[in-house]
Amino acid sequence: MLQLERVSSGYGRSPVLHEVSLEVGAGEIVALVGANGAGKSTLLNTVMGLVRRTQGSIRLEGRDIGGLATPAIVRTGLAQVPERRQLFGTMSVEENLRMGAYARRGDVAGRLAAQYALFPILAERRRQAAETLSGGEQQMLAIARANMAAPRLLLLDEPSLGLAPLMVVRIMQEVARLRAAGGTVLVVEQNARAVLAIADRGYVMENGRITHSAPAAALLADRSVQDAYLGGAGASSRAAEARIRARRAAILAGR
Amino acid sequence: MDLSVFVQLLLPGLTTGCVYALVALGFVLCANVSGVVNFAQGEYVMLGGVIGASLLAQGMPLAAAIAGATAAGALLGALQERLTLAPVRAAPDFIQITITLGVAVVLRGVALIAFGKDPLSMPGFSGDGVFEVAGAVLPVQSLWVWGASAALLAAVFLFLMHSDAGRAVRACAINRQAARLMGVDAERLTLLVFALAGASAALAGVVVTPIVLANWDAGIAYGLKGFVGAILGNFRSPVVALAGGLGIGVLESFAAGYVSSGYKDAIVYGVLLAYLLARGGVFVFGRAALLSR
Repeated sequence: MLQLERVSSGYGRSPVLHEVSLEVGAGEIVALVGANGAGKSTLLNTVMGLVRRTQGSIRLEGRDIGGLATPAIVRTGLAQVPERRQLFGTMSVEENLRMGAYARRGDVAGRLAAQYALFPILAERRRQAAETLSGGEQQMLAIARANMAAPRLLLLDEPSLGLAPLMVVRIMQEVARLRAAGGTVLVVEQNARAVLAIADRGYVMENGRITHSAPAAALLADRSVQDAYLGGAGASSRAAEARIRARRAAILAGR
Repeated sequence: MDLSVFVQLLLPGLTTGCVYALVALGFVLCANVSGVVNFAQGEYVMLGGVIGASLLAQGMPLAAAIAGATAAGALLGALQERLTLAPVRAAPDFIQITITLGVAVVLRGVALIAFGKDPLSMPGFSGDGVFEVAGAVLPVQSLWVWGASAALLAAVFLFLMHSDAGRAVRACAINRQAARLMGVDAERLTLLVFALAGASAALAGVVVTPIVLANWDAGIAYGLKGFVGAILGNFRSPVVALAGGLGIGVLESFAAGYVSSGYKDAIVYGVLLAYLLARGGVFVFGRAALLSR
């Protein structure tokens, strides 16, 4: 669905991404993990047209969207849940959701109803200012707001940031549910363990370059990835992999 | 304190305050969407006045003259944005802001050449009569100013709260980057608010002309005082900016009446300076409002 080929980009004259190639297939959850400052958010912002691509191609279902302005990119069916949520804090929950549909109007009432069904807590709080919600609720609102654009591909930037561990699991379950409902998701995360538990495939980014790319379970079991991003889980890879599969099944089953 | 003197200063202060409030609102809307403080804002009040007065003097019916002046404000506002700001969108904010100062000088010069240096007048919309409130005597035209301002404010409020474009303007004010991610096209929205700000300032300029006359060099004072109102609202809150504009009109009138008309500007700008110093100065304001993109 989304294909990046040897994409470089950055701010001014200092490049942040160096010839990054990455692919997201329809119906997949793809995770992009890496340390703070590795260039993960820059990658999402480049796809959305907020950061200028200097080289390479960005294709959505075959069409090059690399030269488009952000509003046009949103209209092609991409939506981003930005880092730290970036809600319109003094606007109500419902107004935030309506803003999500700004570039792709149409059945706004139907989409609102669908998001309220997906996140009932938002329906309860529809008239409240977004800034009065808890962190987890704000993250749900940010996801629902992006869904209001009826995206073909949802880009999530650090959804676990600032959330309590239980809420992180909850949000990851929501992401898995989006995929179950037919969605496609690219998630950028520092919390590699949490996101790889629900992802199909993963990429590891270091200093603006992709260093590893593998199925999520394999990445979780990979020694060098463990050492760098999972606090060195250490055990023999076969046993680790079995544990990981069990945990993944539990999370996906919603337990 | 003599009540009739108080009212005689308060109500005319509210009348000019209405104009400052509309200018302040224009400042806030334009700044939030484009990141640019449009220092030509006050000139549209002047243009509305001189264009309305000359259309009327050329035999146009009153309603057509008012509509013509308002439309001219919208058109000039849109042209200003297209011709002088859109081409330099990538330039640093201070360059764009300096350009608006240049536009203000040009508009003033063109008005001087086109409409002459003598103040233009207009008869009151429903005659030049007066009415009395609590011992104070006011021109009937004041009611037109208040009514037109209230109607304009209501229209702007409806636009901001209940239309998709208005909601996008507020979203830009809260978080411009997030608004872009929602697919808000800041270019189109900028054009829209410049036209809207030009039209509302020009309309304010026409309705106030029968009371204060229209003069080619009046725009700068409207602009500066509206700017003060916008600063009081920290360039964020349209409501505070409105109240600030009204308050400055009243303050100016009291300063002129109770102190001396020679000192009224000194007092208004003194209040602005004191306010800015008290809350951390121009730098805080600059970071919050101008560099938020």
